[in-house]
Amino acid sequence: MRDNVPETVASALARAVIRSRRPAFVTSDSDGNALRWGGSLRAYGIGELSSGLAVADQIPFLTGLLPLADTPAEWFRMQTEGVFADVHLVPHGAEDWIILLDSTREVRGEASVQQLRNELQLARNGGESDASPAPAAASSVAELYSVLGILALARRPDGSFSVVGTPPDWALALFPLADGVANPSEMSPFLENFLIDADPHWHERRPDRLRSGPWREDTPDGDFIDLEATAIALPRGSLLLVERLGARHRDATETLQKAREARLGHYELLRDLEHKEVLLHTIVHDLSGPATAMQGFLQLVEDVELPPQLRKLSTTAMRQSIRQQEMVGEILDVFAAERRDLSDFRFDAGGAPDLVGCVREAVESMVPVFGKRGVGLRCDVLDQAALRVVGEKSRLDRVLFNLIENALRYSPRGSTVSVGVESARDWVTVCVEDQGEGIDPDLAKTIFEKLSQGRGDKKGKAGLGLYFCRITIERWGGELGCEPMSGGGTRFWFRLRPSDP
Amino acid sequence: MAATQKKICMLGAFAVGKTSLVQRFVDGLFSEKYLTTVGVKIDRKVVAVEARGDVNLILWDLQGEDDFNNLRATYLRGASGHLIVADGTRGATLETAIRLRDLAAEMTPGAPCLLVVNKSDLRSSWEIDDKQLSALSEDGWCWLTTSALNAEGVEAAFEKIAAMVTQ
Ligand SMILES: Nc1nc2c(ncn2[C@@H]2O[C@H](COP(=O)(O)OP(=O)(O)O)[C@@H](O)[C@H]2O)c(=O)[nH]1
Ligand SMILES: [Mg+2]
Repeated sequence: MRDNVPETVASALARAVIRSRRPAFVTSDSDGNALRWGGSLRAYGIGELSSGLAVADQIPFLTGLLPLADTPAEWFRMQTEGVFADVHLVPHGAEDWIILLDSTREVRGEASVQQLRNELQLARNGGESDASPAPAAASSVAELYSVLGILALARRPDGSFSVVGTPPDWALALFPLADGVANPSEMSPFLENFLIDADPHWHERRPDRLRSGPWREDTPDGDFIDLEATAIALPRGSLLLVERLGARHRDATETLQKAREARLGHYELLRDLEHKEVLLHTIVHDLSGPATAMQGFLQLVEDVELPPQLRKLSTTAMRQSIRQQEMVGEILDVFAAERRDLSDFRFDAGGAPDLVGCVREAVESMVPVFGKRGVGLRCDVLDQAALRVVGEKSRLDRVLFNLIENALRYSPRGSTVSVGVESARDWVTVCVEDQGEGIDPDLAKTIFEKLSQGRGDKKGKAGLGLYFCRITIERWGGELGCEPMSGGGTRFWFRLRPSDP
Repeated sequence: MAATQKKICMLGAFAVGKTSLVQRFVDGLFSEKYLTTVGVKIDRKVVAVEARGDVNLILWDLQGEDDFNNLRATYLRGASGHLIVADGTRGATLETAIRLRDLAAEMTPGAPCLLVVNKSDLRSSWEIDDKQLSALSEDGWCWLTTSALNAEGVEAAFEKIAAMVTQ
């Protein structure tokens, strides 16, 4: 500019610079005291100056910089009173020159170029860019946070936080965010606790997002809002986002609420049922009391000489009374089994019953009844080795008794019931076969249900015996069924898991 | 003199009455309606502790733990003590309480736990009986019974935990 530019052009350029960049200057002596000044000092927020007093006392942003001594000329850019200024520090003889030039236009230009560059990068990377919110470029990202209703806080190196962009209204109502400064630890104890996890996340620049989980804040108007915080480490900055949880969160909450209500309801129902069953149990139990008494009286009658006609009646009465008591016993069995069904069955391998032994005992105890009815009872397990199964002895005995007794009920005089045990790798199976009519395949499907009406006219007892067998066997992880046999008669079977496979 | 601050966590299975106890204690209110807590809700109340002055309780109401949701252990950090709540009408919530105490002991060693068996207004349908409770005492538990519905024992529970954490 000095040598080959004509004087007129140079002075025109100088005027243009002076117009557009509002130069101002201050000089100071070797002690840092003001000497002279001039230009558009007011544009930079500098008011009246006094000569002979320290410049740094009068212009705070020069604190610590004066006198310049022998340092070479340098400059820095700063923001003051809403304008950007380039501050040139030039030592010149005995005087230090401080020259201010307005650089707002330049900064704006750079910012928009940077913003374009960022937006291009965002578009190129489909949003996954490392678009670091460099101070000048942050504006579009900041707008995004505002639009999304997210409170974005940028962590400064000293651990404090500054608000990025305009905080959403809900945040302004909840937290003190004046001056663009925020202190999450004071905003909520929840955030204070979250920062303890977020700090290492930021420090180690972990690539994933760290979420706080939802929390609820009361609002000043007596309502509440649900919030969640997220810590994000960007290549050149750490962000703490606080987000108001919206419709998705409400849906999730509602689902959770329903699930929990259903769980509570289920529990209440079970308990209600249990109460009713206990009541019913008591009533049924009481029913057997008079039957026992009646049998006592009939027993007395039996010991007395009676005409044959009366004897026959008393025997029938006795039989009916015993039957009534059996029915009561059956109902109580089912109660007991169902009740325990509600709780967990815990299998104790040490107490695993021997199925062969149980079958043998059951058969032996029933031989006399079969004899009376003229029905044979065959069992080919009598010399088989023990087979321990998953189950419990006293109930297993009841199951066997029920099945064998059921077979007897449908066996014509002169026929035979046979009981067998077979063992395979995964199952031990018991079969009870009669030579009766053979069950209707349709009935075979429902006969194990509660209060199933049984076969033909021999409905007999309360209709709970086979139901008891089913819930008991299934509870032990076993299976059972029945089917007509090809040569006539019916096969009932059940199988259980061996206790030591 | 500023009151000392103490963080207390409300722990327990869902629907035992954690939120209701805090609400009864802080606002003096009770609601029949069950509104499940999702996440964390923090409330404050100052209680006077004999010979210790005022204690500012920061009550962290945490959502109940169940199959649907797990408690985040980090929420317990920095707690001075815990109120572990069980529902007298549901025996299984006592098992959850015992499990939570173990978790609390691990996360915040030395922080005292007070067991609160809630819903004493429904005493006739309690599943937790005196025998179980006295067994807990033998086990070193501190416990008392409350009702958020009729307020019985509620103040006492929070005062007790305040005293325990300022020991
Ligand atoms: N009868 C009775 N009901 C209670 C009591 N405390 C809580 N509830 C009810 O139990 C349900 C669950 O209570 P809540 O405080 O939400 O349980 P949380 O999940 O542990 O926070 C709500 O319906 C309450 O109204 C109590 O002391 N007595
Ligand atoms: Mg709750």
